[in-house]
Amino acid sequence: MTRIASIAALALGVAAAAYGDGRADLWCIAPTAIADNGAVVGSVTVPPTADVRTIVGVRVRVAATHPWVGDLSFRVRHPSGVEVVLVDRPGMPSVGFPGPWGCGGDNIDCWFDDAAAGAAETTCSVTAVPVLAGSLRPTGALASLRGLAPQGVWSIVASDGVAGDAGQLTAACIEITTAPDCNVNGVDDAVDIAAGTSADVDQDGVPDECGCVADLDGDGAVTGADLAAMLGAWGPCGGCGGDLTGDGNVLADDLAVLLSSWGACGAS
Amino acid sequence: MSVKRLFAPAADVEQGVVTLPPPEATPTRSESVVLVGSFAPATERSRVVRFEFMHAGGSLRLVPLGVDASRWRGRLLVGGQSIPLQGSEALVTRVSEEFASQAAFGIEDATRAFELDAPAGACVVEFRSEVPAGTGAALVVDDRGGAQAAPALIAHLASRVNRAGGALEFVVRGELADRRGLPGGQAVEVAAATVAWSDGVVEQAQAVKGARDGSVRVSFARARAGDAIVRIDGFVPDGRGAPRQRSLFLLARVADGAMLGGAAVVHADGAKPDWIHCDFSVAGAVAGETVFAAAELWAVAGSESRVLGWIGGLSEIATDGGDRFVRLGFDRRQIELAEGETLVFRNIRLQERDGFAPLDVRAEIVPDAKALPASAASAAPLDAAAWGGEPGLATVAVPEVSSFVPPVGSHALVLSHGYCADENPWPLAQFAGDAWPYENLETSLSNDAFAVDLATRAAQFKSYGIVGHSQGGCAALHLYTYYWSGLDWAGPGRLMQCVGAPLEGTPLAGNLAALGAALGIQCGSNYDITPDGAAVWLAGIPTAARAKLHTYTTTFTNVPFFYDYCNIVTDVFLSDPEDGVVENAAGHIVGAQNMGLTTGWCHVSGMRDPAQTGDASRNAVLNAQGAR
Repeated sequence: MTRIASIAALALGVAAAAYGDGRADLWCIAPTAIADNGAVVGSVTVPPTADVRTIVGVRVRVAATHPWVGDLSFRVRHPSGVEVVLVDRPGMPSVGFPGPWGCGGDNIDCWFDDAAAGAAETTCSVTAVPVLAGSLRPTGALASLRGLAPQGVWSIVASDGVAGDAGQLTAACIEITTAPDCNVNGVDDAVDIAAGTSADVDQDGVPDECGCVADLDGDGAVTGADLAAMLGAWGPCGGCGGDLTGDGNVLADDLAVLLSSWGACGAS
Repeated sequence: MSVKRLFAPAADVEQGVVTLPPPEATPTRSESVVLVGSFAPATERSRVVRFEFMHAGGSLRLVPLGVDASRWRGRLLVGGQSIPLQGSEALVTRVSEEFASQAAFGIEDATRAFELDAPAGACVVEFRSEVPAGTGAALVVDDRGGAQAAPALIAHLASRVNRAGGALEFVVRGELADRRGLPGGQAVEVAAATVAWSDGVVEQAQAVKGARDGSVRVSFARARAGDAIVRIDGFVPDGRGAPRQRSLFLLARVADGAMLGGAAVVHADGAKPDWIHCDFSVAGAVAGETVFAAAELWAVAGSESRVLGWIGGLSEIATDGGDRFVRLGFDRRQIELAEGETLVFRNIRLQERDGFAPLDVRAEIVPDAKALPASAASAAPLDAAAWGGEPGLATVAVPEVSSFVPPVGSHALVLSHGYCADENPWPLAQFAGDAWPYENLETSLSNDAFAVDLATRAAQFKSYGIVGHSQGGCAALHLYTYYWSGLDWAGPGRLMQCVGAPLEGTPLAGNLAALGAALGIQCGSNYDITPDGAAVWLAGIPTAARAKLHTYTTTFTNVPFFYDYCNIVTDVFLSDPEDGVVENAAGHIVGAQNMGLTTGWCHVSGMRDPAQTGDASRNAVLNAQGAR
């Protein structure tokens, strides 16, 4: 397993630093042979994170040497078992390329990306090497992985469908872009807040249902000190911490919120 | 089947690689007489056939052709003498005879060639046999006797475009080399000219007119579509002024189909802005019919013009609101369209798919320039490998092959036979295990039909290189030039290698067609292997495609006093060095990789030297170097 911090680092083979702080992370499997007329599964374990996160984007890089890419199929498999076909024997069935065997070009070194203009299935050239290069649109939609949790065992399945030519998977990496999802609804918390699905009264970027909004002194618990602070601000209040409902006043409704979350944050 | 959109650089136009050669560039010459007939009942059991000709005196070689010819009993009647045609030690008239293969004509039986000296005068050669009445027979009369300067009868088409309903015209002239061996014009007398149209109708020439330069124009009116076998008989004086009888056969193709309409529209492809479509209007065409089309691209600014390149390819006649057109195209990055210059098409031509006989030629068409898009920002020239466009740009219908072989999926070296072969001549044991013998035996196919058949059968493999014998080499080059196939996916190595391929045709083709019809043998005429057919076919093949072809030729071992030919019959029609079917000069073409001429090998088995496909040392090279 290799986790890599950036695409540039991937090229250098540099291991990653910290996980998941809102950026994309690369998870790579070790190079492996693609058996002739066989399949190989390479896996990488993405560890759980301290906070709950959800997938908001996936791209996959595949680099393989093979004298006839029309033999090859690649799929990425999410830990839940959901699979996305990246490419399935490009040029098959024939879309005008020479012969009934799909794209006969050599080698692959490309990113599968939903946003790419060209489709991997129909990209072919009798002269370009690698024949699949740059950024190409996968056969299936990687967007279907959005909303799933990133952690767990990811796999890339490489298969060779025709006897006669074998290859080598030289690089296969999954770039997973995640975002916090404290309410575990499969939606980026920021999206929840922007859409109004969640409130963020304290405007800390965290849906209020996740945060400890009554922990006014920030000590990780709602205690008498917080109650004292609220009472000290009782009455009309412009943006003070005790106005937990955000109505411009510290009143009984605020007190009710505080009392309902009494104790250590996250304990309930 | 996906077809290529050909592009050739300006150099190919300037050097004439992709231009139709004038018809006088591919003449047919004869220094002999070929007579045809059939056996008629003579007695209850015996049949007889007689041939008549004029002899100027001196050396004479007589070769009868036909089934069982080696057992025919013959005699020559001349000047009151009756000379038996059999080996003789008689002091007055020595007749030497030797057996000769008729394999080149598709006859298994050998024949005999008779050499003797005969007095001048009207000659009658009579053969008797027990063959059934009506059996075809032919006689080759060769009076050269080893002379360096034998008079020749020469003919060529008057025009490259010969359409049904119009006149089919030939220019006939005589030639005699001087003492230095340089050819000189010689008066010619055309005694007879006949044509056998493809529908079986035989007609005499409507007009035989002499010209000031000593040549004679022979014209047949109201030509009928298809292959026409033309026979011209005449006399050409030798160095002593004595008229020598000569005859020659020409196989001409009378075209019928689409004609250019005179208009063209140029527009960019909706999905590929850099790809420029060129739609030429056509008339008299059937929608869906496939033709070969080509045009030169010129940039014109005022009185100045410069050639930009050449485009061509096979294309199906398409329709647009009742208007019919044929579409070519090019990637705009192939050329550098200068601002302010006008794109003009020149020497636009349509040719039949089978045989590539020209249907129509126009000197110039100025396309609808309003539709010409502005130069793209990415106007960098393309890689030279992009001469065939991209797969999927265009397709043409091809016939299905009923004997399709189940897919294998590996990579192969395809070994192809040639025209009308009765077996694949390549010894498989001399090739690696991935060699595959293509077989479609005893057929006469055009280069196009041959190529499509080859590709369809070889589609069982992902990719392949081709080793082609005879017309198999032409078919390989045709396939690579015009179609996307497993050839385009082949790995490193020589893509196409051929031995004894009639790339520029063979003078035998006309004789094969005529004698095949007369003797009831062979696989039918094949215009592609005539000098004319090969010339108009080759004119569609750019240097980029030719460069992928490695050509080998062979010839006989010269054994003084015994023989200096591969086959005594075909030797009459061919110029040395030759392999019994293909002349060395015709087996190599400009732009291809000339791998040389080797001696001691002939075209097929049954000739003086072994069949050229059996050369183990060369086969080892073909095998090792061949792409898969």
